[in-house]
Amino acid sequence: MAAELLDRIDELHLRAVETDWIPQIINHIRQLIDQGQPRQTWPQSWHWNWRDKVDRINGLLAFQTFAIMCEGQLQGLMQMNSARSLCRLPEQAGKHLAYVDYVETAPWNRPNIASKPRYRGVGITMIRAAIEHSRDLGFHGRIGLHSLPQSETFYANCGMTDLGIDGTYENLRYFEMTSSQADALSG
Amino acid sequence: MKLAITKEWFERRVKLEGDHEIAAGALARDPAPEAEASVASESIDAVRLAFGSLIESLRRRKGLTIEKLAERSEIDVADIVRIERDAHFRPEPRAVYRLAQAFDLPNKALQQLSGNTSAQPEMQEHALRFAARSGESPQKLSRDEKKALEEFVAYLARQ
Repeated sequence: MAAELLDRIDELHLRAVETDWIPQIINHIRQLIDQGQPRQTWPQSWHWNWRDKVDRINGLLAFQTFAIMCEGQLQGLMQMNSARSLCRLPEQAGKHLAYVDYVETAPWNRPNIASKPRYRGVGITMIRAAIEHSRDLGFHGRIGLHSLPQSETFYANCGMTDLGIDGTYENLRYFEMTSSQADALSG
Repeated sequence: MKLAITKEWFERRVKLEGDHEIAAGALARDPAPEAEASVASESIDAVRLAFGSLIESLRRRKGLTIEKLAERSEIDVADIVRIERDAHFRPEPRAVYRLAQAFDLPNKALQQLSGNTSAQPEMQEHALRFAARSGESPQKLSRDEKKALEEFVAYLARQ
């Protein structure tokens, strides 16, 4: 199946998040709730709001963004920020890197939500795009990101170095890739 | 940006992804019960919970759908859904005022329940009692739930 990587999230993609992605995610969460959890145990901070989310992605358009389309549907989104932080790994500490602010695949591609994920490869494609973007910036493929807990295995599989839980960023685990790790993955 | 991903590279590397999730960055986070429960430090506000149950029960007693109530009270459907089901959603005072009018209850008392103003201890006690006596999501109010609703409404009306 031919997929297309676009180096900009546009209005059409945001609308797809709102109309295609978010209802599915919400449905999934409703099902979790319906599986017998009483009202008192509902998410305590159920203030998550899809409009906020789309607005936030909208606000990110100033940065380098990527979207993957396949069969007319939005399959994945990524946002890169080249000025957020510097490398933390001792061997490249203080050097510039391209930081992945946000990457997500469509709910129907997510093993945790869909019993049969439709497309695999959004993650690996985005990581490759992140590496190429870093190279374009002259950062030799160095990238960094904060993985969600359920995705840590994937980033470890990509050969990134695990620098542990980052207490300064929602207790998410921070991963960093060196230029040689980037060469290994893209080779 | 040039991105020359060959089919061969993709097929070789997609195995790294396997059946793993790939999301990164806080924005990718779902509002999942497990994730939220560990982060949340605040306890569920019983008064606000009672407010959600109250609106839901009153609406059901009147036989209104969420849509109909939204239409009558000129409040967004999404806001009513969140008022009823999201204990952390803080409705705008204007929406609470409209609900007070729709159900013919004192605005001041409803503003307290909604969390827009702070509830007096006595109000908290009544709200807690009502929340404890109302069901999870009744299609139809049981006799006990009806009684609880009537008692609470009577208390509110005296405020």
